[in-house]
Amino acid sequence: MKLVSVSKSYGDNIVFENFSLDVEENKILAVLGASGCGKTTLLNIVSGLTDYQGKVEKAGDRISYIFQNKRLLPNLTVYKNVEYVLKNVYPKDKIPSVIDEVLHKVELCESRNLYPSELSGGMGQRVSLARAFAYPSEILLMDEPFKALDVSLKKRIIGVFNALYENDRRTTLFVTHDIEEAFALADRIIVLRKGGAILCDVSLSVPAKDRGYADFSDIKKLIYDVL
Amino acid sequence: MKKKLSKVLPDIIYPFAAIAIIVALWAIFAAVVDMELIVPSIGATFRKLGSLLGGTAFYRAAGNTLLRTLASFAIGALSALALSLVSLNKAVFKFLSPVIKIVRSVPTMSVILLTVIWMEPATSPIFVAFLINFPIMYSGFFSAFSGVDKDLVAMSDVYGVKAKDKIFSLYLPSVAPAVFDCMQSAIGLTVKIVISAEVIAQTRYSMGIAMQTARGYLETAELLAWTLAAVILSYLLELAVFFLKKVFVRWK
Repeated sequence: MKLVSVSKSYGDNIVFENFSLDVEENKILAVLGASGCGKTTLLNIVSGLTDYQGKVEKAGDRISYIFQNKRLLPNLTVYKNVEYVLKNVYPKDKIPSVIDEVLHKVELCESRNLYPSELSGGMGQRVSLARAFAYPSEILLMDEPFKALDVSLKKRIIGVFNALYENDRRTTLFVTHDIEEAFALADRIIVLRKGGAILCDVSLSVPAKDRGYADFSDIKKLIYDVL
Repeated sequence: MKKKLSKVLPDIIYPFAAIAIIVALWAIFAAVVDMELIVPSIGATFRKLGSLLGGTAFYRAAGNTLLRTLASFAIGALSALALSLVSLNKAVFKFLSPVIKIVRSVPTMSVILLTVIWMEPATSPIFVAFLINFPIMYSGFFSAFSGVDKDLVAMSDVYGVKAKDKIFSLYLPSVAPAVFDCMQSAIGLTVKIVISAEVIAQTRYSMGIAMQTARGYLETAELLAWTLAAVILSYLLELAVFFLKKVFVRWK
């Protein structure tokens, strides 16, 4: 995926000016940056939720998006929430097996008939993950999906994400405030500044699953300094 | 079980207490005035209601009024639903705003008197009640549609959900609670307006004309009996909308 000379402003507030970025196929690019630097705007540009000048070249049109708030339809059960995004992409008879498989992976088979109001925060975010991975997209966007979770739950959900991603890699843009989250998932990390300047750009050679907590301390220090 | 009972009791006790107070005030007022012609006793009114229920004329009048109410309500609800949906477009909303404001501010009696001149007595109550219930339902429906969660709309757009699925799984269920609440108050009002218009339009075989006739013959007990019947009709219709809401808004 490639962003070429992308510009975006809200009135006088210039968020991106001639911003270009390459995202490697089937890799996770984490985007860090201060509040208001345009991280969410970047995702909205890629997903087509906001207008912009410039070009976004994508390998395919289908995008999965894991939002910070779960964005589940309150009137639909867990099963139906996943089905809601699949009706347009799979034949009717294939949908149940796709949903069963993904619900099994996120350990929500027994909660398939619950409504979002009956789910805990972690369960809701797992439905959001299930929906994103059940949808056959080429691109995955994540906007601080673990922000509202406590530390132990965050660790568990990141584990669920890694298990899903391991078997179903996609070109991923992962926006976060949390450096540790970025190091737990990403193949590459950039630090963004308002206007579109990239302050720091590091690629991590060790696969995410093999990394220890204390690894990359020098790179982490560099990113903390830039932030 | 104890908890359940304590939850249910207020739902039964408070409404009953309110009705008991109204009945007591009625009984005291009737006893103080002591003239059946001015304030009939509860017993006389219910005896009259009983005798009305025993004859076919009651069902013919109540049936006609019910049909007019349902027709007016259906036309009002469907128009409000369609126009509130298209009003999500800003240009349409701006265009319709003054029309709605005019319809809403025209005095009810002017509407009734004008439609009595323009239309048949059997149909004018339907039109009059439509003119009153439509702007109420339009405003309620419009604010419900405007309040649909934009985050969910954005999520649906990203995942390329079809318009049909968005309407049936997102828009309609999102607005359903507010729409049914609005319809519940509008249907009671429609009963009242239809009966008022029937009185003025002298609509044959209707609850309105039955009340007017009772008034003409100074049959106050009969007039009150018809009023009670109108209240019961209105309550039953509101109850029907309430149960429809229960069916359509199961997840709440």
